Amino acid sequence: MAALGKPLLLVVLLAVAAVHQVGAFSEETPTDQRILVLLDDFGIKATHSMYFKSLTDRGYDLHFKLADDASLALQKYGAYLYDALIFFAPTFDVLGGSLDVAVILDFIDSGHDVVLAAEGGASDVVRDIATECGVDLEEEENAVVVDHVNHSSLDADHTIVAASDLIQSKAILGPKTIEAPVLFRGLGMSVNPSNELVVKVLTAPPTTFSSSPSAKVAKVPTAHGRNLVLVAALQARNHARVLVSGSLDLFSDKFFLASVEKKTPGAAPTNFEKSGNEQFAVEATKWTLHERGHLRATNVRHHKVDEVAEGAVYRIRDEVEYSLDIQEWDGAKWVPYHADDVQLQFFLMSPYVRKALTSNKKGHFSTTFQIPDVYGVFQFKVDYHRLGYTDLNLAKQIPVRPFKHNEYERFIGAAYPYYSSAFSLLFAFVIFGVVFLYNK
Amino acid sequence: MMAGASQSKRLLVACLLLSLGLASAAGPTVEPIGASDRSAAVSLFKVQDDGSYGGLKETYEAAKVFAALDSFPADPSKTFAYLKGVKPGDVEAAFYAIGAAAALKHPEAQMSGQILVASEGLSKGTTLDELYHGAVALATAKKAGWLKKNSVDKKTLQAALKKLQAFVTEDGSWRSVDDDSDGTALASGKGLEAVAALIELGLSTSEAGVQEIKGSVEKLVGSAEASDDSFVFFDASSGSPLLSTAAVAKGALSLSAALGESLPIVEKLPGVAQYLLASKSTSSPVLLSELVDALSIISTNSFSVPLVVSLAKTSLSLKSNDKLEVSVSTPLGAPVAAPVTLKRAKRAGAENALFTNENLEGGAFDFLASKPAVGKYTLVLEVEAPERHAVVSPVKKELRVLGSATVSDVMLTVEDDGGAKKEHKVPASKDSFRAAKVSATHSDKLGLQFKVIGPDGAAFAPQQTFVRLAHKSGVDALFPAKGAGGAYSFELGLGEVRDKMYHQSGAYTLELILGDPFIENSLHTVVANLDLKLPPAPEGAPPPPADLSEDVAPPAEIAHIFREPDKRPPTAVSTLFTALSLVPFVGLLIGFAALGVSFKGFPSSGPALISAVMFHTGLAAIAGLYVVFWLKLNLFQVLGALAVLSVFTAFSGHFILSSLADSKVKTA
Repeated sequence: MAALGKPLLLVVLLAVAAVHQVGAFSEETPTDQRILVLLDDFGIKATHSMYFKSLTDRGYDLHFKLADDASLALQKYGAYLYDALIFFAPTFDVLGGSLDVAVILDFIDSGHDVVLAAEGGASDVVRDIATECGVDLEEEENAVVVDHVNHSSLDADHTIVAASDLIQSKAILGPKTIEAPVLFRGLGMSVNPSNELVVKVLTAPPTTFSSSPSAKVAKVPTAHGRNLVLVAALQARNHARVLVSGSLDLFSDKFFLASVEKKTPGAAPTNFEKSGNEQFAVEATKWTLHERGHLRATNVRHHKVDEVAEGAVYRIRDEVEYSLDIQEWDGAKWVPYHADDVQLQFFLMSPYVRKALTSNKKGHFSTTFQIPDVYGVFQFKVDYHRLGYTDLNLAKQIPVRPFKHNEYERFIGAAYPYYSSAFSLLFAFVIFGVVFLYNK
Repeated sequence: MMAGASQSKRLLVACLLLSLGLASAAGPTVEPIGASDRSAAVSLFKVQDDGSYGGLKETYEAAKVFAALDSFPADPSKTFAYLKGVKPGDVEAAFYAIGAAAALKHPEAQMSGQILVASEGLSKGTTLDELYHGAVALATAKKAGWLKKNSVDKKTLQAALKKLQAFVTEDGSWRSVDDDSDGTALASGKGLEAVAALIELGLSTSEAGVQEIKGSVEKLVGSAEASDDSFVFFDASSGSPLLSTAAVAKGALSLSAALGESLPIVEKLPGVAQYLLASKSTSSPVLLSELVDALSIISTNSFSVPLVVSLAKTSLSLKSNDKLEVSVSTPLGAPVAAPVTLKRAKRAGAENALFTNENLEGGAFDFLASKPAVGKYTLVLEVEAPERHAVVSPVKKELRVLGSATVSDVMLTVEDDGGAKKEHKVPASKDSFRAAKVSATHSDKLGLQFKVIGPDGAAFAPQQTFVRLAHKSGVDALFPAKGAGGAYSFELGLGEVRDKMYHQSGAYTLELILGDPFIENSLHTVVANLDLKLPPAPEGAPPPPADLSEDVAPPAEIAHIFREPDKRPPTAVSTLFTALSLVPFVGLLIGFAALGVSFKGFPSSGPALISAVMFHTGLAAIAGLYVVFWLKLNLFQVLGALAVLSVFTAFSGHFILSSLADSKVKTA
């Protein structure tokens, strides 16, 4: 019985291990490869083919399913079948199979990434997911974004906004600046400014407002101008990333290839042969799928400046060197990260020392500093929070002790009168003793 | 299940309308394949170094598109060489090779190797795909004149037909393998095309099988789905409806052509063409080649060519002399002469029609001659289709008439709390404003008046008339300008907006945003540069929100400030006092010398001598130990040494002191 049990157990363990290959982005298995693409209809595969091709070209395995497919499931035997979800099904009110809003939120809670696109008349499913991610989609009936000044000529109702107010983050939108405006048709969104996990990736021009295209606008809609967010991104505390776009058309071939005019007040408009959509969509998706902006720290070390071994305890006023390696995931491998704003804190209730770490441009960061003349249990802390990057929160405890009694200075010039008087008294006593006892 | 499927189909149509429709109310725009589509299509295919377009299948797709659009690459010799060099493989490869060579009109290809593979596939094939590839490849080769006479015998054709018949299901659709599975539209299209190919290869049309299949076409076409916009499409539930619809149209039309008689599909062609054109995509090679291939078969069929009615311009500008131009063409864009009547043209919201029953001579009409009001017009066009052509008539089209508005009499007023009013005229010319420079405080009232005149010279109410107050930090607020009869006014007490502006003083801009879907010169311009002095923020007021879309600078560095060492006197002073502290010791020595101390009492012999020496050496050693303690030792070393020395000194001291006491007693 036991002999039979063992191989069986082994098989089960192996199976569990195999299933666990498909997980969220993790530092051990950082490849994020299998993506479930949920569609309203398979026509989207054709109308958005350039976007999907950019993903397959980068080695992703796309699984296209209709959002009401009865066989839909994200999990099997408790393990996730996909690493990421592209939700391009803004109209279905009920999802097929075992999928619902809660299941998708669990998917995010377990560290998986989602690209979510809405459009005018988006379903409650899309709204609920977005709301849970800190993004509120416009709720007014028939309302879409309208801009009579900055718009594309593709639509006579001026519902295709040419937006160029992009987030200033190379991590999210890539190293190359997006020059041409991004075309957007769909729902405006708002994000709570106090929510520091959600950032506005694409913001509407000041002339945009959210309304039904044909309605008269008697009062200013609450969603307008710069507080009208078009694309937002969430990076959860577990590093799961969610990109929420109010427009599905933003990802379409038609918008990728459309020409666009950029208007700046007081200057002649600039013509672009191609909109910024392709670059924007591809780069923002790269970020969402952790191809950029995912950092890890390795090789964290500290030691006294003239020693090699890590100290278990340091004394006040010691010169100490702290170093670590920081790497960024580029979609295929870890590459050295370079920045000059990584800071080390020497921390006891509050930071006593905060110092920038110098990088050698090969991913190695180090600095030296003198331990303050305060003793207690300190921490070496690196808290690196940058827009678009995953957070680095490193903390290492280290006790700091005062001088030992024999480590103080012995030969203090100013104390020589005391030394000399003490010793003269001592020797005078010895001599006096002899004289006292034996003098006759 | 059935209800679910039909619901999903309805939804699909809705999505289609949403995702394709650039225009809103009139549904998706249906336009024939035009010049921009052609250039997009041709640029989608790029020839590789080996002459292929990335593979055999891709080369086939490229060739099909080139042939259908009749725009061949300038120098196809490399591609010819590539196709000639393709080694015969399976029947699918043969189908692509023969198809590509025929479409490109290969001048010298014989393709005998591929033809052999194709006829083998036809005779030995078991799946629908194998039979389809074999039959169509052979028929294509026959048309190109590459097939030797009677190289495919009747028996093979009859056997193939028999095999094909097994794929037809009861509802007229086809399945792709011979089992009990449901049929699909995609397979049906292929099956019908294969049967048509067999007939072209010499199969008699009087065969019972052929007649039976012909009968099934009616059922198949009957399963077509239609949307409100007279679109007709097939099989939306499985796979791509575009591919399915293209396949059915191609297959059924080929069969019609082979049989020489009109099958039920012909009546559906206008709807099918509308659907295909509405969902055209020029970014995927597979879809494009199927689409264009189907459209070219539809456009050249000899029964009834569907016509597409399109407007050269869907919006006309009152500034121009543009005319309403209606073109009638085949789906592939070839113009067809057909008389067009404008039955009715009515502006949305207007009571009466602007035009009724106007004949469009040469397809053009001077719509703007009567200076119509700007807005969205619905046109009802009647098209008379010539013989062997069909059209969905009347056609509804949407036309926009656009114009430009002018803004005039822009006046900015600043009224202080005493009621004194200062007026600043903002000179405006067309789209440019010379912004006024104004300073104001929180007790002032800001006002803005302006007039908007429409293209017809009358007052005009744009959809969007907003006034924006923006601080240079990006904080802004929008207000509506209220108006009637084209005169707008806006008033704002600056005290009321303090909170909205987070109590920030400094440079502000007052901007005017005017916009309307039917106005060409929508406007966003600065009308005034304001210097506002607002009182400082009260305690507890929220600070301006940090812009999370910009990275925050890292926090400032902190350097620890070490405790300063105690102040010490200069060395000279210390040395002086050291010397002074030694003075009593020296004085003691001098005193002893002056007194003339003698050591006569020192024991001269015996144990007393030894213990005296030991006692005083011990005391001196303890004193010396303290010196060494100061110089280098630590407390524990000193305590150890002291323990030994003190015991030794105590015993010897006790002995010598008691012996000295005894001797004193004796002498006394």
